[in-house]
Amino acid sequence: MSATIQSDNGETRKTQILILDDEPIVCKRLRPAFQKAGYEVETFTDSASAMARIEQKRFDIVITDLKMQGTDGMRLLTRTKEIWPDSNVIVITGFATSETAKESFHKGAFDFIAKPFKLSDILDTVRRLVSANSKG
Amino acid sequence: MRLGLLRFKRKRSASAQDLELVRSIFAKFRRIQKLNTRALELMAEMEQALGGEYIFDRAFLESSVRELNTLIHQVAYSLNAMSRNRYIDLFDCYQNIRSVLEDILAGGAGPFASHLTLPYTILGWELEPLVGALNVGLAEARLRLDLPAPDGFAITVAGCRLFLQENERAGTLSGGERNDLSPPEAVLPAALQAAITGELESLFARRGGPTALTVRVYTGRGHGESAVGINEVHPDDLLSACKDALCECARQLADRQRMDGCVAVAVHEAVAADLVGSIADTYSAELSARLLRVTAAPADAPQRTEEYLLRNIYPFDLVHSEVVPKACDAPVFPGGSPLLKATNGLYRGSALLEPDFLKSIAECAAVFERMLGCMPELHWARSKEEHQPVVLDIRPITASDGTAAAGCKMEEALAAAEVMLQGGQAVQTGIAAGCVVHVTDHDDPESFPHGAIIFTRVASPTLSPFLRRAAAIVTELGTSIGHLATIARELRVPGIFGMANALERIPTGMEVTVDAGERTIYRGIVGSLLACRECSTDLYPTDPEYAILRHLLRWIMPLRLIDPESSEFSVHNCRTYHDLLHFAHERSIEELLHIQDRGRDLAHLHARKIDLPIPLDLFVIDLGDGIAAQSGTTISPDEVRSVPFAAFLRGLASDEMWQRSPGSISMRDIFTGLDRTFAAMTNPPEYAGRNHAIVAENYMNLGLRLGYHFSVLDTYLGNSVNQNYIYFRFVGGFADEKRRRRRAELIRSILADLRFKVTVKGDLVVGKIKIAEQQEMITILVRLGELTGFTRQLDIAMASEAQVAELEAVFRDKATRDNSGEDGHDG
Repeated sequence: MSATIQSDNGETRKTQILILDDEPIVCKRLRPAFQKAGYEVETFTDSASAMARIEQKRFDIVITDLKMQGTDGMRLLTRTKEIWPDSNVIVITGFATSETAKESFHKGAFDFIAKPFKLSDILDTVRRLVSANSKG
Repeated sequence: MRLGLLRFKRKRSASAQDLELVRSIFAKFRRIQKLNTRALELMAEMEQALGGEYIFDRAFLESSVRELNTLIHQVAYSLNAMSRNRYIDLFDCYQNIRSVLEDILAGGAGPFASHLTLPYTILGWELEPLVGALNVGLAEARLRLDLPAPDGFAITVAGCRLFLQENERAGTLSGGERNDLSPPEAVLPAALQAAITGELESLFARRGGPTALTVRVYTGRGHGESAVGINEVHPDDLLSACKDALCECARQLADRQRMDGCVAVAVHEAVAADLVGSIADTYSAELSARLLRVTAAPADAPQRTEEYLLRNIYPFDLVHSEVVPKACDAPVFPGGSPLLKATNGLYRGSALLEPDFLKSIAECAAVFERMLGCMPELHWARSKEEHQPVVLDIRPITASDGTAAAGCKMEEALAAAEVMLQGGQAVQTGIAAGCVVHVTDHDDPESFPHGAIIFTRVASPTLSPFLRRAAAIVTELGTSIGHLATIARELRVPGIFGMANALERIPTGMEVTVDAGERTIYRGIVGSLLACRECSTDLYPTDPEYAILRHLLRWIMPLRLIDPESSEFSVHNCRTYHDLLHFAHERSIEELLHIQDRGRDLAHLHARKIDLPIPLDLFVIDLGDGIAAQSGTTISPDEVRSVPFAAFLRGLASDEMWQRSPGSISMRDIFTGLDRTFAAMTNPPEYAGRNHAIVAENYMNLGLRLGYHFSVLDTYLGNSVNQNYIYFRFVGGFADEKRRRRRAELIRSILADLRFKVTVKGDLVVGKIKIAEQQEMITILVRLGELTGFTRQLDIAMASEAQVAELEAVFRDKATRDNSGEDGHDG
């Protein structure tokens, strides 16, 4: 499955992903995994910087942790969907409850993944998403 | 009359309490099993996270430890509740381990932080902040990676700190300047002296006697600094040499103005070497490739350094060498010969290192690369006697931060690669290439070539020694939670388990590349894929999360208390949560074994007779779901719902096995029978003489007196393989001692054949079996039922030693006939 998408002007470009997790190890391991799979990736460990980046640029996919200091992931999810409704958001969290999952989906998350998760699981989720978008 | 009624009521009331007590004990046992299962699952999840396939964070570590603490506390509580607080010290043991885990999670260095010295036998990567990379590297090489390296001990950071503090206090650091410290004025603190002396004695005990030593200083961490000064010392001069080394530490710290830096001293066996050198990663612009650069020089002439460039993947072919011309009388390596004489009269072509030796050094470096995620700078020496490489130092280079991945063109790298197989489970992620070798349990690990790839049918724990030499492992059967998977993660050997048809599709001798993370095997050595290892997403010892997880697991996973019969099997020797769980599990089974003793009057009011087709009075007490709810005062065999009890009865009532005719008893038998002791049959229950089975759906505790022997059978059969067990005890008989011993030997032999671990003392036979599938246990219980019927009164008939083998053959024959009858019936 290709990690590229067709932009509005008909050109093919890499799918762009923003990853936010305040645990550096998560960013450190997710970034090369997505890059090796052909995606363009930006990672953030503080939510304020990620939020500022979202305001500047549209990402095809946003992967965010939920529970962080400062702006939490739910706020980033809400704001992303406000300004970029067609961006897709995947929530990853070590504090998964049915309430937070429900709330995430209610706010427009594409998927909700509880930590710890397999690298292959999140890669599959993103591939699924890219595939769905390219068909849609 | 009134008095009689009162007595009856009291008895009835006491009996009801006893039944509740027995039910309560059984409920606690079940609770321990459930807690045990969950705790082991959680431990397996934590251990699997080391394998690189999972993305986790600190929250996962914290929540896992929190849940584990709760589970272990409840296990300790339940065991004490079922044993009348016999193991109250278990709470202290739990509290100690819990404190260690919480300290590590809070960023502490664990219980070894205050030790002044630590032996190499307990060091691991996670203790690097306490002893420095030099000590940890040598210890890991020797103990975990099976590489030749000297044994020894570390004077820890705490030991060095104590030395500096004491000397500051004693004023031996003139004007507070550590670099003015001179060895004669310095004081080695008494506690440190004692610790060093103790470690030295232990080292000599491990090595079989005194040996020459080397004392080395380690300063800095991740700064490329390592051993400073290598001195060979006589053991008698060790304290003085250590003092010199500690003074050197002080000077190094003062020079670098890093008073709180990591300083430690390594004390290890001296290596008598004729050559020394190093190996490290290098980039060759000429060849546009990453290579391994090996240097070598005579130990007494470091200026005569030679250089060799090798390919950085298996089999590490020599690409280029710079060989120093030698004098005509210089020795060449064994088997080598000078090639030509130069115009200046020197010989050319006589390299210091032969190809096989170069390959051995590269293999050592490759093992460390696998562990650390990057090729370290490794320093080696060639031992004078064995001419083998010995690891002297490992200087890790900081592992990749993942930024290289952006330039890694994985799709391009794999465009020309042929996928041979995909599937299975990744037990340890990573990429490796090499030659395939099919391996079985019976092969000799020493004959397995270093750097080859293991292909095997089953992930058997007996293959663990092969992993130390392997570049990767692929199995057709097995899962990521078995022992072999744990060892693969420990050694960071890329592994795929459960890959169907691997042996059939990929023969011995074929070269392949294994990408365990992608669960894929490619044909040949895919160099471009191997190059992508630098963009790895794996966890490495240099990652703080890896170090914390490994440090936590050190106090959770290892199981040292294995043998419940050993005197070491005690609460005080529970060092890890796994020890504690295993201890509680074994002791809870022991408590159940005595369940009949606890419920004294159960037999009179709660036991119901089971109507068997054999002449045996057997009374059954149901703890829950062991007998059909609609059954009456007498139970029929088809109303038995207890899985183990039903299986045992099937064997016991077998027509083939039950000996209906009374044994022939001689006058001698009668006299010897009267004379013999019943001491072995200690503490018979109050309802002696009656046979009882206490049952539940998956449990049975059976006490049988058939003639003059007494047997106990305690078993639990659930869906969890790890919790299933059968305990069988048989003692006594009517005949003389020799005949009873012969029957005991017959039973021992049959039990051993059924995979029991058996011990025999006189006529007492004890057999245990655990960790088996439910179906296998059911088959064994049927055999035990048959064995019980078959051996009843058999001691009297066993007049000669030869009858042990004869009767064993008869039993097997009958059992086979019985089985074929069952098969026929089923069919």
